[in-house]
Amino acid sequence: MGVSLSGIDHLVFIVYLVGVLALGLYLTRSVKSSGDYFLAGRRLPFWAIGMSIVVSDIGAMDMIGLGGAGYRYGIVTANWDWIGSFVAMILAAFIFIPFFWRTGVYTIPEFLGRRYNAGVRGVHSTIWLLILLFDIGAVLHVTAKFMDGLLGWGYWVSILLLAFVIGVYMIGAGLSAVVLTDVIQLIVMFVGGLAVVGLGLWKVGGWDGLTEKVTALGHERHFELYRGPEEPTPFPWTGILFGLGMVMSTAYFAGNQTIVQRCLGAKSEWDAKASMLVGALLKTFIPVLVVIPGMLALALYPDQVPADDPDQAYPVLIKNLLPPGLLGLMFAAFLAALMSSVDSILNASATLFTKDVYEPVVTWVRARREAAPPDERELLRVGRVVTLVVLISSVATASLSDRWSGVYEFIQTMLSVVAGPTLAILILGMFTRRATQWGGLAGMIVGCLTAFVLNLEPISTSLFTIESGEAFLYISWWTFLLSMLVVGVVSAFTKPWPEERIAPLLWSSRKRPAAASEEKGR
Amino acid sequence: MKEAILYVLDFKWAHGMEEGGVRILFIAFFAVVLLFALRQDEDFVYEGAPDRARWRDLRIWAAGIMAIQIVLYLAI
Repeated sequence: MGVSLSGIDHLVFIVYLVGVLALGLYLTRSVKSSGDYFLAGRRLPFWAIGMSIVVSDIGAMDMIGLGGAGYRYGIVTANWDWIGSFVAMILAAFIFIPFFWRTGVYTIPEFLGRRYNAGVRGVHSTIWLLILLFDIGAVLHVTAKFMDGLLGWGYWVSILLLAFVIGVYMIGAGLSAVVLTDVIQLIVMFVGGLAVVGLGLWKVGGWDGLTEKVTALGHERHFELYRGPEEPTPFPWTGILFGLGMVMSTAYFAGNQTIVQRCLGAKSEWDAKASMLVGALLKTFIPVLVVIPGMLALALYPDQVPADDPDQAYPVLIKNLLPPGLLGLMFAAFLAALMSSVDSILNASATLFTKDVYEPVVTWVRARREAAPPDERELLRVGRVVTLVVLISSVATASLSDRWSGVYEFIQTMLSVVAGPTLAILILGMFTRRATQWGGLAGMIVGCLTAFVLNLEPISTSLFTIESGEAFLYISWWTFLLSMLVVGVVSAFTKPWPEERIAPLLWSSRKRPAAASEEKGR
Repeated sequence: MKEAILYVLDFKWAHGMEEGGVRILFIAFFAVVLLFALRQDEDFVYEGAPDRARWRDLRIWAAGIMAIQIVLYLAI
C-alpha cells in the first residue's frame, strides 16, 4: 500500500532528520578518547539512558510486527513488553548493572572474561558479534523495503539516506549521540504513537466501543492476557512465565551489549540503576503504542487488512486515521524506531570488536615484542573505523536478507541459543565464589550447543507442542537450567579463582564502597 | 520414558490449569521480585546518588512499577 505525503508531512520529516543530524554533529566535539566514544565519557544521566533503552529495544519492524500480532491475537501480545521487560529490568537494576558499572568494563564479555576466563569472553563476544552483524543488515533491509513500499522512495535511496544520517552522527560521536538522539526519537515515537491510539479510540467510541466491536467480530479472547499451553498459540502462559519472564528477558536486559552499554556510560552507579527503572516504567506504555493499534485496525478496518498479512494492520490504521502533519510525524516515528535500533547495534558491535577482539589481541602481540599496548586515541580511531566498516558492509549486504529468508530465523535462534547459558553463568558467577572458570566455559558451550540442537526443526516440533517457531521460549528455560547444572558439576571438580581476584565481582561485595572501582572505571 | 520426558519438557503438567491458578503463579513471581527489591540495603540503593532524598530511593521506584504491573495482571 502506498501513502502520499503532503507538503507539511515532508516538512515534519525533514525537520526531524536535520534535527537528529545536527545534534549528532554537535556531540562529536566532545569526543576525545575511546571512553568518550564507547561510554560517552560516563556522563549520561539516568533519564536519558532509560529513554534510550526503550527506543532502542523497539524497532520500526517491531511496531509493525506487534501491531500485526495485536490484530491477530489481541492483548496477550502485551506480555512481550510487560512481563518480558519490567521484572528483568528491576532485577538488572539491583543485581547486574551496578556490578558492571563498578568494575568499569566496556562489554559484558569483558565482565565474563574477568569472572571466568578468556574462553568464555571469546565465545560470548563471537556469538554476539555474529548476531549484531546479521541483525543490522536485516534491519536496514526490511525498513528500506517498508519505506520504499509506503513512500516510493526506492529501495537503495532509502538505505543510503538512512546509512548516511546514522553514519554521520555515529562515527563522530559514538554512544553520546546514540543516547541523546534516542531521547528525541522516543519523544517522536510516543507523540506519533499516542496520536494514532487517541484518534483510533475516539473514532471507535472509546475502550468500550473497541471491546464491543472486536467481540462482535468473534474475537472475544482478544482481551485476555493468559493463554493455555494446550492452545494453538505462540503465547502460552508457560512459555511467557518461565521462558520469557524468567530467562529470556533477564538475559536480554542484563546480557545484551546493545542495552547494557548505555548503562555503563551512566554518570554514577545510582544513575545506572535508576536508568533501568525509568526504562521499565516507559516499557509499560509500549503495548499501548503498538498492540492497541492492531486491535483498533481490527475494529475499524477489518476488510482492509489482508487475512494472510496481519502486519498491514498498523499501516492501514495510520493511512486511514492520520491527518496531514501527523502522518509525517508518524513516519518520523517509524524512522526514529529504525535509527535507534541501527545506531545501537553499530555502537555495540564496534565496542565488542575493539574491546574484546582488537585490544586483547594487539596487546598480546605487542607484549611479545615488548611494545606498548594500544592507547586511548588508537582505540578511538579503531572504534570509528570499525563503525564505518560495519555500516558499509551492512549496506552492501542488506539486500542479501531478501534472498536468504533464513536470516531472521538465524537471528532469533542465536538470541535464544545464548539467552539461557548467559543468564546461568552470570547468576552463578555473581552469587557463588565456587563457580570456576572451567565450569563457566563448559556451561556456556554445552548450553549453547544444546539450545542450537533443540532449535532444529524436526527436534523442536517433536518435543514441544508450542506453535512452530516459538519453541525458543521453552528451550531458553531448559538450557538455562542445564547450564546451571553443568557449571555446578564442572566447578565441583575444578579449582576456583582466588578470593582476591573475584571478590569485587561477587554479589556479596555490594555493600562495599564503590569509590575505588569507580575511579578505575573513569 | 519418552512420555515422562515430554511431560516435563513440554509443560504437559500445566495443560488445562485453571486461569485463577495461573494468575496466582504470575502474581507470586512478581511478589518475590518485589520483595527482593524492597529488601535491598539503603547504602547500596543510594550508592552514587548525590544525596539521600526520599525520591531517589530506588526501592520505591521498583515498588511503584511493580504495583502497576500487578494491577494489570490482576485486572486483564
